[in-house]
Amino acid sequence: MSKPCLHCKTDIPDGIQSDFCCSGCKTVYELLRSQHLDDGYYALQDATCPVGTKPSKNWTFLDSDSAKSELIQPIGDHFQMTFYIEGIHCAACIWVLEQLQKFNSDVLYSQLDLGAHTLKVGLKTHTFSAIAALVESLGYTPFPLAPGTDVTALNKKTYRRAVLRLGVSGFVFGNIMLLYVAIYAGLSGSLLMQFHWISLLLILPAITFSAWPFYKSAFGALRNKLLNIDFPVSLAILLGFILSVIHLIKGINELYFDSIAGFIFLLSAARFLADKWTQKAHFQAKITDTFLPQYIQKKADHLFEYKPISQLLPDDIIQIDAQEKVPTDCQVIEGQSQINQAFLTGESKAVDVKSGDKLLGGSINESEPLIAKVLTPPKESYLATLLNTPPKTIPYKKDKLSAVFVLGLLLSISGLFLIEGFSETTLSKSLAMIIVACPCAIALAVPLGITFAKTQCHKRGILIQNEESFFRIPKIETIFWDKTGTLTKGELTVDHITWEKEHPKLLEDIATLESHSQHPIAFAIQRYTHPKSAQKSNVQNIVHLPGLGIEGSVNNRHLKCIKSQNTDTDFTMMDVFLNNERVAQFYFSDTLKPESLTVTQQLKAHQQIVSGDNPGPVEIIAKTLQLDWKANVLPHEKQLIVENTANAMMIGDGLNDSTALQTASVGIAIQGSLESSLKAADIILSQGNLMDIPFLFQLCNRLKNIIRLTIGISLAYNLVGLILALFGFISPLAAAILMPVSSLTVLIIAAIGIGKFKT
Amino acid sequence: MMILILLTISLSLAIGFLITFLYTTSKGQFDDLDTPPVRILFDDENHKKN
Repeated sequence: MSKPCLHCKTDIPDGIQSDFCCSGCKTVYELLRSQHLDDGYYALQDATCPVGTKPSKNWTFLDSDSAKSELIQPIGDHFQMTFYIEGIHCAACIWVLEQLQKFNSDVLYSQLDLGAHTLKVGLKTHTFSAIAALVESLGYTPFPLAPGTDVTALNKKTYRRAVLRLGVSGFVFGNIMLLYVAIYAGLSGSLLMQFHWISLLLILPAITFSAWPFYKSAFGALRNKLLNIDFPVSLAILLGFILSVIHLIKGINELYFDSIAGFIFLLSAARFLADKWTQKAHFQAKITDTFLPQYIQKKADHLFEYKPISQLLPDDIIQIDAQEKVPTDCQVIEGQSQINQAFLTGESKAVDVKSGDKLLGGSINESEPLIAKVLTPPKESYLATLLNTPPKTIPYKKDKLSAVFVLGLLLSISGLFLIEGFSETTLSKSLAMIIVACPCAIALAVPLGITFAKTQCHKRGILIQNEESFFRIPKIETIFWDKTGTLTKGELTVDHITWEKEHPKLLEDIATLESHSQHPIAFAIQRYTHPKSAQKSNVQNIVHLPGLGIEGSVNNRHLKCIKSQNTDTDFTMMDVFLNNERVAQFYFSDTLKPESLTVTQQLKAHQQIVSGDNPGPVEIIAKTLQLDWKANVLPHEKQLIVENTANAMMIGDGLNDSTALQTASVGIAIQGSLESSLKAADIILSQGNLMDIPFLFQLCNRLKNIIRLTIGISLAYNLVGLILALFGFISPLAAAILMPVSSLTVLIIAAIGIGKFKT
Repeated sequence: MMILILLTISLSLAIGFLITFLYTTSKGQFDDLDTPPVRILFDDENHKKN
């Protein structure tokens, strides 16, 4: 019976006699306890708080002179430094990181920005290496940021301007409403016109400054011969303003300054909120930044110095220390180590690398420092291209839809003028129509839905390479499964061995020979014999027989291990020849993943296994799962099968699947996939959990329904509003309030329907 | 006339607040809208749990 770790709350693996799952968690727990911060921390903690790690980085570079000038800001009598912190997201993180002074008395203040993931630390001295090490030992990964280079610095200007625009429009709206209360209450005489004149002065900043983005966007679209939703918005604002000014000069008590101010304010508020949510979702979805280190040691004049990775260029020489992440795709030129590519392939087993091997950006160097040559700038690394493929213009109806809507609106307004003639009531009616008809909701619904869906996927480790998949998945009729590595664990295990002739220590020798092979069969034998033999000695004349096996001399015995051509059996077989005489046969089998049966039963589409494997093993699996099957399928045949099936989904992992993955309407690559498959796939399941597939189906169906619902709601709303306005039942003010409310409805439906979606 | 004086007072107050808003925005008070709402929930430093 396993119990949860006291720190991270994950289950402690069986057989470990401890209250913690790892030493890292124990360290963090004891550290928090030593300062009596544990009660507060664990009360606030949610289930996914950072797991403790071994502090391993050498932070002394932070105390160097170059760091002092580049990273540390002297402020009065103290020094300040900003860190980008990986792994913060909840109240407990703020709680503990803002109390650093309890751990280190030199700390004057530490302030966390949850949105930007930055921590500002003020220190009496400039020994920030101690702070970095402290933060790291608490389980977070800090990255020093040079002043002005942090992730948010660029957006800050735009963001502050948006806040200003919203604030100013709110100020204008509030104060004009205050004056208009008196007007609505029946103010008359000379004061009435004075109030109107003051309103005119008040509204100017809203008309010019706050509404500027609407004009800009409408004009930009017009220049590209497009009509977007900002066109009627701008039209309403300007038309209403001009109309009101004319009335004011003529002395007519029918002005819309209040409606216009309210319209600008509510619309700005809705836009601001939408932008903030989109950015937030986008920030969570854009995991490249958190996957890659911000600084790496770059060689300059024979010395390695920490430089921002953004400055890396091809052919730069960098040093990647143990436990550091590889910043970009590069090639090892010195050193040997193990690399963990679990982020990409889900394979937890570290891969040996040596001089000449390629490293993928984002993988983790596990043991020894490596010197490597940069192959691509970080922005063009494989992972970056994978995650940052510029969002394709969504081939959805939204733009056309709103253009049609705007056009229809303009036509009905001209119709109105034709029938009723030009008068002030007609103008007023058309103003209400324009305001009410804005199909803002349509323009918000689709991108917002996609952003929320993407965030959901990234949280589960599902990487979306092609956003169109979201709309294709609900249409899927047939699912093709690859067998090995997809439905099964992809690990052959030795089922049994038949010996035809007994020879002493033959098994050990076979294992020794196979230890030189990278074939799955060889790994199975390694796992089978593991405790008994590990020596790699006395092997000579090794010949690799590609696709077949390996031969060589072990302890002066000539051994040949080749894959059997015998297809009468349900097992994968290997024949062992000693001096060209068959002495043994190994039987291997592949076991199903534990979730395979549940998943195939949950999926409603027609399913078929297409495997390159022999019929025997395929049939066993197919029978267990009760699926159709095809065996001995060559890669191009796989592609052909998929190509000739409409709305097909291909799920696979191997090199032989990549063309089929590309051809399929939706291609899904699984954990441990080869690079070519990863590139070909629309979606990558980086955790290798097949349960993600039913999840995707449910999520995409939900997305489809939510988008339909929101478009339906906003269309219905707009049509009803339009008709009411046409007959003069809705005043411009009521329209100005109701319209952003419809946009807000859409926002909330999308946020709750998809953002909170759980299976 | 009284109304106009009151109006002047209220408008100058409003403009005063607007200027404060412009100033605080430029100083970055609204840059982080995520952390402060969480931070306010923490217990006081010296508050001891029973």
